[in-house]
Amino acid sequence: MNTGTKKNPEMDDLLRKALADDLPADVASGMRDRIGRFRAARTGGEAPEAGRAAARAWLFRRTVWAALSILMLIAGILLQGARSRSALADRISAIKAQYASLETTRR
Amino acid sequence: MPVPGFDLPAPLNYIVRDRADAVENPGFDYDVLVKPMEPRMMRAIWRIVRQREAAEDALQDALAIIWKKRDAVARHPNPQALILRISVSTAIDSLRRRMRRLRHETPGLPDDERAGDGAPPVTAGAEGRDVRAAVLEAISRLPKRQATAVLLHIVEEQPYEAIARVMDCSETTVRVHVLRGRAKLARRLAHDRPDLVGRIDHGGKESGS
Repeated sequence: MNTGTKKNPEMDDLLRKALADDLPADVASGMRDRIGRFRAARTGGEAPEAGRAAARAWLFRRTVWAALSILMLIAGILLQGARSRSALADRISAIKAQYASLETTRR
Repeated sequence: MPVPGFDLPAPLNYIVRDRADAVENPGFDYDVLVKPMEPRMMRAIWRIVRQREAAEDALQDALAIIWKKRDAVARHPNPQALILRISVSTAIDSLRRRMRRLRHETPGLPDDERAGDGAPPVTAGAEGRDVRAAVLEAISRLPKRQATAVLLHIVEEQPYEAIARVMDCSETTVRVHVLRGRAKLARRLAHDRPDLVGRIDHGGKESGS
């Protein structure tokens, strides 16, 4: 097959003339507005996206998980050591004790 | 792909992969790559679309595609040609959509009258508008790759080699697209507007000398 040797200068001229470069000023202005809006949207959207990515990256670091585990362990030990009392826990303990004593007396 | 600082199980890698790719290819700079091309993009889109709103939409679509493929644009050996190709391609999509809609909405009208719908006044007058409408109608009927190759080579005056790179095919394929597209345009115009193309060689076969 002959590729590209069949020139048709009249056809090419017709295409160039029909699709002439005659961008009207008002259309150009509208297009520039679109470009401006597009760039503003992209620039504005980039910072939160970067922030979210950084947060995700931070969250998935092993050192963060290790530190969180240690903190939970320390919190557990402190709560155990503090022996802090809870009204609900006291009432549950009392009910359990009464139930146990009832069982004992039945036997 | 190993990502420094991220040691995730494989199923979770997708969370950071896109961001990591962007970090590894920081070459995209809008002001350097796209901004100097903005006037050319605008003109290339206007040449084909010829409707204010549609042209603005096509430009926005082109910018969105460039943004989405920004890493590929930055890495491309000829980013300007790629940006131009994306612009022409979105303009062709817009033109084809409009022509399809017009054909559907006004099936009784001749092709040239339908193509002229919505076109702004042309300095060359009614005859110029008719010619343009006929040409745009003929372009909208070409296969998309042929239309892209024809417009990039003949109207945007891009060399075959650059077109081949941005269309991801061989130079020979581009030449064939241009040859066949040009022949189809000539035949279509000869059929629709014999007065217009009476002097043009619209040869019956594409593989002539």
